Amino acid sequence: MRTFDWVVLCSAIALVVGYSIRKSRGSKTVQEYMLSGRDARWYTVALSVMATQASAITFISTPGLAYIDGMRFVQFYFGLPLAMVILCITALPLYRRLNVFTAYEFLEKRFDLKTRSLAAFLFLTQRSLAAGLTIYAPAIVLSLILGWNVSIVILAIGALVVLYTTVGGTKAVSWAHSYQMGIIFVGMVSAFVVILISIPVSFGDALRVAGISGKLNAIDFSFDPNNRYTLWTGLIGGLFLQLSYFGTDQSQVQRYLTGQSLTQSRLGLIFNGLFKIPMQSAILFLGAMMFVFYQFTTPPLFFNASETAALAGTSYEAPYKQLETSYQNASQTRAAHLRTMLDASRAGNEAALQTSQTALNASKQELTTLRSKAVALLKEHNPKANTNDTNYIFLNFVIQYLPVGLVGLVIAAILSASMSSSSSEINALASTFVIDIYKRLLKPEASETHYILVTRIATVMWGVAIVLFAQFADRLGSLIEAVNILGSLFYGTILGIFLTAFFIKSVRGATVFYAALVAEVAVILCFWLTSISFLWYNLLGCVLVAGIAYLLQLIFGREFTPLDETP
Amino acid sequence: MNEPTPINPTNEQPPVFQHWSGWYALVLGTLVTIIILLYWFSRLFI
Repeated sequence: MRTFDWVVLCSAIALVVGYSIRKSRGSKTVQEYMLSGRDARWYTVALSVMATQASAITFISTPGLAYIDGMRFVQFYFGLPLAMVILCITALPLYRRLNVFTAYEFLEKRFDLKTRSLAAFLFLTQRSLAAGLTIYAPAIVLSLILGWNVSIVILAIGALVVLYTTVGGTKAVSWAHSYQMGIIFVGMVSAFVVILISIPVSFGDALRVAGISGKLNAIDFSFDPNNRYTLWTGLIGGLFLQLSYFGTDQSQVQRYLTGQSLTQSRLGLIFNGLFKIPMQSAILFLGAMMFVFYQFTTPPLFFNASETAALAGTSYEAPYKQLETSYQNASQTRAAHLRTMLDASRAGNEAALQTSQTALNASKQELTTLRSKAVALLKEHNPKANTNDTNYIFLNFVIQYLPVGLVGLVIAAILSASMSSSSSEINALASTFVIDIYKRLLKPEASETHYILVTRIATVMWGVAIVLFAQFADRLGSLIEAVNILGSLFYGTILGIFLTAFFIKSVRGATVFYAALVAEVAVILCFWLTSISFLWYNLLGCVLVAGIAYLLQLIFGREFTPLDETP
Repeated sequence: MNEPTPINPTNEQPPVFQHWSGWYALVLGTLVTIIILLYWFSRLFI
């Protein structure tokens, strides 16, 4: 990165951190510190909800996914608008009316203390692990650019997030979200424009290249349960995942509980339901266009430069260089065939079109073989080498092809995204720990000042915990998928508890508690022993909790309900 | 308290539409439109 990039990057981050701290000082009550005094307008709620979900992983990993696998990942979000509508009708009015700080408080009111504690425990486990990944993703960016050790970068990002989250609480998080979303928008639009300008063919031809390469395939109607992204996994599995994430995950619940009124909170969620899929489609389309760009410009043989740099000075360096030369030649041949194919297509010359397509397929095959050989070489040199380079594809483009200043801006956007998600997560972890564990179980009677102090200490402690977990996050393949798989292991069970609370009125605390334990074990066994798409875990966990709780209640009735639970 | 609190629809008047169902229909209609557009778009350039 050049000096001007550093100026842009540091200015953007300093602006976000400084301004959010300045705007959020002076919280005197727990409600002010944890729920921003419930004074947010709908657009602040919406931006905060979107910024929390859109982590750096979204911007690093998603374009790479489109580059490799096309746009079908967008189906993952199809359940989100449905979930927003359901939550606006069910959970949101209930949370507002009960005036809760965390979603899990509701469970004690409906069931019992142990069910509330179980749900809070599952959240604290799942979210702290996922938060480690949220911090790890942008750490790769900076470690790649600066040549710094990734652990130091993780520590630096963690410290920055903990600083403003601890000082300003939820208000600082919300203020930061608005500015972070602004930086993210400008950064991603700039990258998109540069990619479009850099493609050496017309926009129409670029679309055709992406289309025939299958990169624009967004909808898959197949019913194969092992197929990770289809219309059905998105609509059904995705609905349950998003319901669970937005309805029961405190990092999101805390965002919309800051709304001035029920109307403001509802409008915030509706806005998210309207704009999330277009936003993800645009990021995936950016990845598809990046793929087109690399059809005419030779891409790196392997996108993770740190792994290839490790070959320098070893006996593997020379064969790798040979592979790189062959890859460059094959790539140029592919570009030539592509141009011939586009010309033939425009001229309506079917014979030339057929010939060029056959030659193009042969080139693609050769490139795939060369890349496989390179990956095998990296693995042979270092059996522990990370051979999944999906997360480096977009970063590589940013560093290589974006003009000075824009590199700093896009890196600022990625950092902003990471900070926005991490701050919500740390904020929610601390709130849940203090409200559902500390205040409820350890010290029920204390002053507001005491609880604010404990929340600040908890914020620092959770910050340290997720920084530690982030150190072990580098072997999880595509990060965005890793986060969602991790979430799906727990979300179904948590959602099952909440849906049972909302809709199966006969079920009591003890039955839902044991049903949740059985369901969680079943989901984890399913993950270990089967290859079923992770989106189905959400449905499975949820159905198991509701079904088993209902059956237990039916079979054992009130005998199963301890005396202290009588209504 | 062990019984669930009844879920009553709010009486708050939403902006633009007369009822919240108007907003919900807009969200769901947008989802269907996006799915159709994405499908059409992915078939257009093959």
